[in-house]
Amino acid sequence: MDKKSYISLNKTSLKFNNSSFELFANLIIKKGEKILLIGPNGSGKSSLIQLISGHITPSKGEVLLKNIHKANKGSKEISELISYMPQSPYLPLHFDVFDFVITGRYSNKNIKTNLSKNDYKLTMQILKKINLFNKWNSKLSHLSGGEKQLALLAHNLIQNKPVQLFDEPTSNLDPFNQSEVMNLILYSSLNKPVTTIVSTHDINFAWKFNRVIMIKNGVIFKDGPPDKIINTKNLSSLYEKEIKVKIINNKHFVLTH
Amino acid sequence: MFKFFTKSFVIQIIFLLSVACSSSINTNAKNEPIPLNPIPPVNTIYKTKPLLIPIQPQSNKEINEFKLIEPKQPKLPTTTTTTTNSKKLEAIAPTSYPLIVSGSNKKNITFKKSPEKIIAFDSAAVEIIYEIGAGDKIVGTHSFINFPKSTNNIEKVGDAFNLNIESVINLEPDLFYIFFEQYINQLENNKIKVLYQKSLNGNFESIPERILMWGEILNKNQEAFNSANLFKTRLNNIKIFFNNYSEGPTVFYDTGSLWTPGHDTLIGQTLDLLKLQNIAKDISGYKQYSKELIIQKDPQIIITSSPEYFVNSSEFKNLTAVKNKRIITINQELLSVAGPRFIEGIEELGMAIYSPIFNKILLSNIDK
Amino acid sequence: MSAKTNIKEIIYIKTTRNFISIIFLILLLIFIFILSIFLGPSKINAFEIIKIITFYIFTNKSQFILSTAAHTIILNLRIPRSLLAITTGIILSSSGSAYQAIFKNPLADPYLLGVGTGAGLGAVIGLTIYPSNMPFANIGAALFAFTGGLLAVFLTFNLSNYSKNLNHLSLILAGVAITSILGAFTTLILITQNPEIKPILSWLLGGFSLASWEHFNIVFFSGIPCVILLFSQHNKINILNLDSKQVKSLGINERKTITLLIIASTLSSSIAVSQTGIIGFIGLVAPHISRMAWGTNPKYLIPQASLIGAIILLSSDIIAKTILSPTEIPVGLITAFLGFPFFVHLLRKEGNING
Repeated sequence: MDKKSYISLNKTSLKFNNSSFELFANLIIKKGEKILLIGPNGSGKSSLIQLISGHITPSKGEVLLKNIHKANKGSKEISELISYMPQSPYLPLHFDVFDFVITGRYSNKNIKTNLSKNDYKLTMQILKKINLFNKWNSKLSHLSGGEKQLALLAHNLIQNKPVQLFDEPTSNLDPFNQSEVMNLILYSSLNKPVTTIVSTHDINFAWKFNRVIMIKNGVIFKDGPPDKIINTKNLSSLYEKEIKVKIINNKHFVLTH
Repeated sequence: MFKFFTKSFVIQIIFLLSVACSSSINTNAKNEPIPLNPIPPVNTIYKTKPLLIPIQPQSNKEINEFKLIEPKQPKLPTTTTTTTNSKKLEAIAPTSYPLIVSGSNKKNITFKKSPEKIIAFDSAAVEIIYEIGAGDKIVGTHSFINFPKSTNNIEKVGDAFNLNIESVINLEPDLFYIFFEQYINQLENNKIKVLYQKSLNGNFESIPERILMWGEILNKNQEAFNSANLFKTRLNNIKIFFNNYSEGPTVFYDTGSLWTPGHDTLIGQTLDLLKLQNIAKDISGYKQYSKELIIQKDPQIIITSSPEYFVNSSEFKNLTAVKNKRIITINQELLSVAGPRFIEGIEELGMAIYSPIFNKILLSNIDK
Repeated sequence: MSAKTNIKEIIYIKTTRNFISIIFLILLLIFIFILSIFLGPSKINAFEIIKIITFYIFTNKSQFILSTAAHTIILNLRIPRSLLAITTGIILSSSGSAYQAIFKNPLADPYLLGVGTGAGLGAVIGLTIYPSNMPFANIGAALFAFTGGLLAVFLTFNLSNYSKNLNHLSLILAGVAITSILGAFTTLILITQNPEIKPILSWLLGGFSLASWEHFNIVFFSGIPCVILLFSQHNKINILNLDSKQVKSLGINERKTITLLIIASTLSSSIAVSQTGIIGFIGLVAPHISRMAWGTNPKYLIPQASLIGAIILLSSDIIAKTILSPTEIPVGLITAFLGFPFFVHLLRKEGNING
């Protein structure tokens, strides 16, 4: 085991009861890496993320955090390390935005006491950053799909944990919002190194990350920095459709037909 | 571990249910008719005192707000008040058929001869029919009946909630007697002769009329006349007795869980007859009475079948009735059926409260 | 508006205003409590009542003898009855708030897992076995009801797959199944065994008409520790409203927490129901009212809901004991009548949002 590794999935495999689908993963993730996870629908992206976060237990193998903790044991130390934004979670629609986002500030330390003024301030700040502040006391049921997603994102960002996992955080957002959100995810905490894993369908963001994992049919297909991995050949083989990568004005663009 | 607990609790529930079922089967066998005798039933736990004597006021407390009306000077006995009964003399002759009887639904039922197979879905009717000696003609009744004992062998065709029409048809009755309307159409559609008469709620004085009616239908006119006459005489004796008194003690009649009868019930009218002042007089029918009002009205006598409830409860222990141990238990069944035994119930209640003065009435009955 | 003003406003609305609301609710409750002592089926002079109460508070209680009917009525009937109504309101509302969080459903109420039907079956069995005894003075029948309530929830818990896979839907479905089967048993006993219908009906509809110090002590001393526990878990209850995955991310062991909350709610609800019958709507309605009025600050939500529940229940009891004097209407009927307009109001609001 590599001493530098932060999260490692050792020969893990995951099999679901009702289908023949099986996910294999043998990964090492270092501290501070920004990883983009891409793959066609049903390839196992969400399951891989949930294996790392500990929400799903592998059928074989183990997932270790910091080489000590098992991810699926769900202890309080693990919850201090990882935040996870699920894809379409149930939202308590009778909560208002502020109350919903501020629940992200709960942690082991303050579960028995109460939230502090600082927590209120932080919530306000993050709502401003994602432009939801003018709706701070609207009920979640009154928000549009995109706004709900922003609130969910804020809920995760406010937790400010060393490992942050996002499952398709930009899927319902308008294009301008998408890049804003991606910047927030990647650059919100400049001081400490945050290990970030994001899954998305928008491959144009790949160059903001320093590692790309391509997953196909439950198997990790390609794994490496975007310059080397993101090319026409790999993408077309991943999606089994023709996808081109072109460079225009020194910027990469992914084109689908 | 969990499975074991689940199983044991399921077994426990089934056990409790079976205990519940079996124990209530046993209680039905207990009820036997209480013979009429001149010796008043003595409640061994709580002594009853003759109550037309003023109650001693409580020591070193305020005077009891609820005054007792002392009896006036005894008047000379007045003449017997006659009840309405124009059929008195004619009833002794045998019935001349065809006989037309009208029911409460204004339908006229014609009898060409005495019915031989009667389904009497009414406790009062059953008791009357047995009283006049025609009990063998009853082939079916409801499951609440328990007097006389021979009714145990009669087929039960229904209970409080429903009537088993098939059983009724199988018995091939020539008369179906019922006290509520619900099944009349269904029965008549199946060609059953139905006589519907509302139950005599709050008007026990017409029980003798009912007895005579059955006597006429079944051609047992002499027996009916004797029974009705006895009822009326005993009733009259009670009325004469109470002519001498203006008011008796206040009373609370508890039929269970503080449910009490109002002025328009059979029991309510009985209490009026006995000059007992029902503290729940203003209600109609049977209702649950408020504890506060019982305490405020402070009845002098409590009639109940669970005396320990009043004695053991902290709120009631200062009631006059509890302190003076005037809690009376009687056989409440007698007063629940508007039949020939009703007068026994009245007499038993009178004896329990007013003995030994009241016993004179019974002795005068025996003379006759 | 500058940022500073806004944060102060937010903090005010979220915290200080809630605190003030608690004070307001407590005062309102005290007012209605005093009102309930002065009102009742028997007319007692107001000055007499004041005399009695001050006399009681300021004399040596061991020498105090209940001298008149008014004394007994006020001290042994009205006061324990109102206190019992308050306690029951608190228990039902806090259990309701907890259940709404556990099931992530604002329409959950404390009887969802079968406490009410189980207690009802227990009471019917108790009243059938001991028909001659008054049900409320007899600890026995109340014990049957209490056991019945606990057993029902226990069965529901085991019938569902919850311990295996944290599936809330299975808990709700199991609750529905157990409720209907136990209800069927209850009806079966009522039809075949001919027990006393009237006391059972009064019990099933819920009421405080036979309340006394004994009842209050039982409910208070067993129920209040459970309520205190629910109060103390306010943050966890708040978090439980979120999706299960997010709850886990925040470090809460969902299964353990939910089990603990269900045990506390069931114990207290079962005790309350065994003494007072099945009183509906309070557990459902009170958390909604407090949420609609003052939002969701977890520190205050459950106390607010409890106070609101106590106020509603006590007011319903005042109506129940005076409106048809000398008879009393079961309190459960009044709360049902109160629930209807509330639901209509909710429906209209919901219709406007999504329309």
